[in-house]
Amino acid sequence: MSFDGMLGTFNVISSGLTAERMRMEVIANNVANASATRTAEGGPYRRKEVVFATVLRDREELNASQPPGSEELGGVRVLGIVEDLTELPRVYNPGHPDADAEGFVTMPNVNIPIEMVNLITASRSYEAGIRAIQAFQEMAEQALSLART
Amino acid sequence: MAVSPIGQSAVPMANPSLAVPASNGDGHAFNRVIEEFLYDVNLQQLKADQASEHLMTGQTDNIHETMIALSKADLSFRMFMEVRNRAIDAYQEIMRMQI
Repeated sequence: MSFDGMLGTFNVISSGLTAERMRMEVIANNVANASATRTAEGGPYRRKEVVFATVLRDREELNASQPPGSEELGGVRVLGIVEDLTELPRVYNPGHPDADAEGFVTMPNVNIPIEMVNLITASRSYEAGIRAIQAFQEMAEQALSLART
Repeated sequence: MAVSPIGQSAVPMANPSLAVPASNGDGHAFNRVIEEFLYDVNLQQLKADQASEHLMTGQTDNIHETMIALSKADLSFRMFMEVRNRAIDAYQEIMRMQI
């Protein structure tokens, strides 16, 4: 489609926004499960993290006028969600139903301050994407105003 | 002294291939271009419609995708309008010609 080629910047930024939204979701899940000691796999919750990967453009979408290297401008996607395998902290809390014989409970390795920092990063990245869209829109509008003179 | 007669210019009048448009085919090239353009613009509108419907019915939860589809439709439509305005301006300019 001719417009999809011309407005390709929108698609690239859209993929970035989708990825940031996904990161936000994962962070929210980490915060929500900050003290979950039971999971479906057994044991306490493990902190999750997103892995982003760049996307290559479709060969058919490219035409001869685009410079070499532009096939790598396909945006970003969430490759997967991986578990943080750092050590789970043990907290002394004999009253807890999941406490072991010595009274220690294995807690999730979620660190709330770190999650908050990641949340700010995700939120700012989303904002940056929105700004990029606005800038592109302004550019397109200025180009359109050429026809109006 | 050789004088070249009037009416036989040394410079050829005009390149005939440039002066006369090739009349092969149906000769509606501009018409077709506009049609394709309009088709693309319409497609963007339909996509925007679909995106807002998906957002409202909960089939997608990405607000930005809908908003991006809307601004794509807006931009392409306005671009079409600029082209249309230009074409109509040209037409009116021709209609104002003194004969």
